[in-house]
Amino acid sequence: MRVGKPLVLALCAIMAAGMLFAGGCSRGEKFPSKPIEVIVGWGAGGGTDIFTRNVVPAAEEILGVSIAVVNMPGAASATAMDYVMKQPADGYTVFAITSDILPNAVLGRTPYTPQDLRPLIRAHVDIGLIQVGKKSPFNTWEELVAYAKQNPGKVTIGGTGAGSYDEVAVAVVTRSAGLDVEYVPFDSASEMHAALMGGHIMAMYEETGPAIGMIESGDVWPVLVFAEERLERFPDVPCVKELGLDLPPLQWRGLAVKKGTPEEVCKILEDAFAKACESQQYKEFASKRFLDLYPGFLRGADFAKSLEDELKQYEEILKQLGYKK
Amino acid sequence: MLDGESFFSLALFLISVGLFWRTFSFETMAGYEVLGPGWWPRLLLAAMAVLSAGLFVGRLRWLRRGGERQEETVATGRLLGLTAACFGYAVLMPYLGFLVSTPLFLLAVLLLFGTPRGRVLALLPLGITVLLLVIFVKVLYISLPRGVGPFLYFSRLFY
Amino acid sequence: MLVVAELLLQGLTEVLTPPNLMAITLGVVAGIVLGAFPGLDSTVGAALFIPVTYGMSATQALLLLAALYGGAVYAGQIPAILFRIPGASEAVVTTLDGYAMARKGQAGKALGVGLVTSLLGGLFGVTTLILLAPLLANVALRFGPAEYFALGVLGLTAIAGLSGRSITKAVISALIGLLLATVGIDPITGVARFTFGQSMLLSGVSFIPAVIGLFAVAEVFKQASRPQVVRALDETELRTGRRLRVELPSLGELRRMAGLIARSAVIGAWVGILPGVGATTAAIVGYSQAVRLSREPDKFGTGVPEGLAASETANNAAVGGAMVPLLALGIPGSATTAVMLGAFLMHGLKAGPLFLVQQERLAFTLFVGMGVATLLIFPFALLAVRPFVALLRIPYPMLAAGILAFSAVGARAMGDLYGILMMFCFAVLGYLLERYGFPVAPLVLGLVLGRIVETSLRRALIIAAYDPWMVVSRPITAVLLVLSVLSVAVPAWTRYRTRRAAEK
Repeated sequence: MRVGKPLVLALCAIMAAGMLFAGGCSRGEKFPSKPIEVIVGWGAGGGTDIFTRNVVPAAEEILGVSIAVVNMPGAASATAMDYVMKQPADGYTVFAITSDILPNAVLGRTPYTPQDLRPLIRAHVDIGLIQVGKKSPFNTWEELVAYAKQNPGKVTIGGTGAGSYDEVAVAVVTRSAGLDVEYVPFDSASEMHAALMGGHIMAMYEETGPAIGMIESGDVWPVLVFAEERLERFPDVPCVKELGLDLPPLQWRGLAVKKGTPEEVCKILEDAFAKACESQQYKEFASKRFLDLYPGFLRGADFAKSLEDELKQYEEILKQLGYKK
Repeated sequence: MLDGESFFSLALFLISVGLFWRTFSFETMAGYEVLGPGWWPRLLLAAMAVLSAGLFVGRLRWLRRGGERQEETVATGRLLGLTAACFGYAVLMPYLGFLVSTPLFLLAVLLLFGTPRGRVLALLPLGITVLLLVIFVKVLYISLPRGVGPFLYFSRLFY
Repeated sequence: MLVVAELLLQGLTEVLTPPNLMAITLGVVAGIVLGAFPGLDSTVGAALFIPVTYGMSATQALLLLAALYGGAVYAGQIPAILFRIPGASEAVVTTLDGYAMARKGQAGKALGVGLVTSLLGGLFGVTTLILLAPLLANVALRFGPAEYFALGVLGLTAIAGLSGRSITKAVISALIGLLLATVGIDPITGVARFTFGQSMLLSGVSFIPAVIGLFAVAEVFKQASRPQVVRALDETELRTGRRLRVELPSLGELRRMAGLIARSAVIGAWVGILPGVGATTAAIVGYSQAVRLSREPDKFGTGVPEGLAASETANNAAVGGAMVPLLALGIPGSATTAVMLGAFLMHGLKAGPLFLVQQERLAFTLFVGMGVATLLIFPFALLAVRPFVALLRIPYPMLAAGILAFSAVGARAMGDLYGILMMFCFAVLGYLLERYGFPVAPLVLGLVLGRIVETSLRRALIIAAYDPWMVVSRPITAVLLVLSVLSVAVPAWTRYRTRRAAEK
């Protein structure tokens, strides 16, 4: 037996490694007793990733276990959704969700719908705006409407993704205004920003944070807010509601676990993350990224209800837009 | 009478025809009739079908004229074994977890390539696995699969 | 001009304070380590380090991230040259000639050429940033979807030069790459293409696992297919007893490549400036240009320093380039600078047209810091290369196991659940292609440029209300397309002429 000695050595190595990584093996009844993973369906450094990493530290302190942020980018978080649904419903796998889970479900990118999730919290709403630049043939929403009425099909509005939240939001608003515009899908927001500043598209749909540098320098400015009320930050920009247009669903970020997770576990997580959203770090993050322009925080039950309404809205709009499934 | 290269070009041809046909089952959307999702792939596939067919015919003619086959001798057994080990590893990792599947895979690789000493055989796979685990899980906080069932419990002992 | 000099001096004194210098050093070291590790690149690195920078001053944070970016883009070449593992996506093109050189026993020279050209490229990028940022940023805005399309086409024309023995095989290889780029959700209509109901294919082919498989793992397969396995990857030392070390290129060699390096630097910086494309595309377009203008295009890919120099100059120049639109417009020029934009916001800074005016001091500190970081790469690179070189001497079976394990985790590092499976599929594809004489380089070209060409064209057509003339008649587009046609037609014509002359 020639491998005898090496084998013993190997076993020793395993044990040594075990001691090195010690911890996490005690299994008490209390939740949580081992590390939690938060699954992010987007790459490291993206908006949802940064959001998660800013809410997690406070939650770690509250729950007393470590929480790892795990990126699983792909197909607008549909891949991550599939992964989450294949994990045990024990509360140790939390899913960072965005509005994109709704069109994903409607378009059949994943067999799972938001109803398969137990929402914990909606952390914030990222209010979007129609923005125009110096090279656009119009300066205000009114002028945009007039231009589009005179040149049907000529107005180009950029957004990120096809069959995405952006496309739905732009469609809801422009259709209710009776406009015939072309939606131009971009892969990356930065390419779209450059296209607007370079006059290749006439307007874009974008949230405040990513465009703030250009807004403050006056190269780009918002003309329409996708909300019920004007924003304090942009008091002169009209909102959708006051113009009598349809309000699109909101763009939000939140957290959820798989449905079927024991209710007491959900409650613990919900409380912890809700409290984490009150933390200094999260508050600072939200204000620096302009995510606190709109009161978007919701707890589990209200969030579930709003998801249900929004799902119906998406189904209807995407069907009108010509998407099947 | 087919050699590897002609077989490969024939396969390419058949795949491009198959995929070409497949493009017609893409969903079409109102408003994108002119340049739908299938337009560009069809263009590419048509070109590929024509070129690979040309390659196939050219190679056949060349072989028929008595062109040399000049195929290198290939260690088929080792190559197939390595391929099997790789795909086995990729498929089993989600079930066995990184910690269990990786040493097994590396052991297989070492055996396939023929390794001099038993000590290397036992220590190297484990050493590399532990090293990667430390780098990824402990330093970079990037998660690696833990496996399912009993393997999940085993992996949880370490990370 | 005097003002600029004064600002630079001020920046230099700022950079040379210990805390700032620490941040730069940390950034360079972290960048080199991450960049040399397969699957981890500057984007992941920046994302990992953003939480670390919360506790720092804004200056330190930006210096660290910028230094990390430069270090990572450089270090991708180390495993690319030695083991054919692209350490970062930017190093894909470097793999072509770099590894071929190493196999010819010129690993030390390849590392030297790669290092020096990286530095030249990096410094050029920073200089561009300092002198021309606002101007170039505004020129970059002229590039819309139509221009991106034409740029992609121009990049693809290099296939004609990369063909090796059979142009048909090269074109087929490129077509495979272009097709693979269409897998997944169509970015224009949002419908799934070639996914066959598999959720792993919805997000398309992930680039990092694909190129690691295509190059690194396919090479292991190739070695496994040999009846006699090599003893070690580099047997020079076993044979001659001489240790392998980095051999810096002589001045004469550099002078010989001066034109090529200059062109690659300009192209790299320019592609870096364009928002939406980064250093990987820069390396490809730079390489493509070098092939096209070379007198011996057939030599590329067989291990010539020119190929390595073109790729490494261009991708490092793209680092400075990518910072141009970020600082001058607030629009990131690459994935990594997009993450850096997040760091700007977290420190209460607003990248954008006002940044260069209101934060002049910080901006120039950052500029000088990037220059210092580029220079710092040199000593750290020499240190970093050592352990890698030592690996060349270990018995190949052990090295193969190591390559496969590191490649596997590299393929999964970005969180791609099916990355490892995809990597092995590409390894088989890469092995078969090489075995039957299809060059792999055109496939990579197709894979990178496919999406740019297709979606930009369709986007441009939507904007032009489906009038193709409106797209191609835009001045920049037209020039780029004419150049593309010429770069295919001229070599074909000369080849035809010489053949006719030979027949007579």
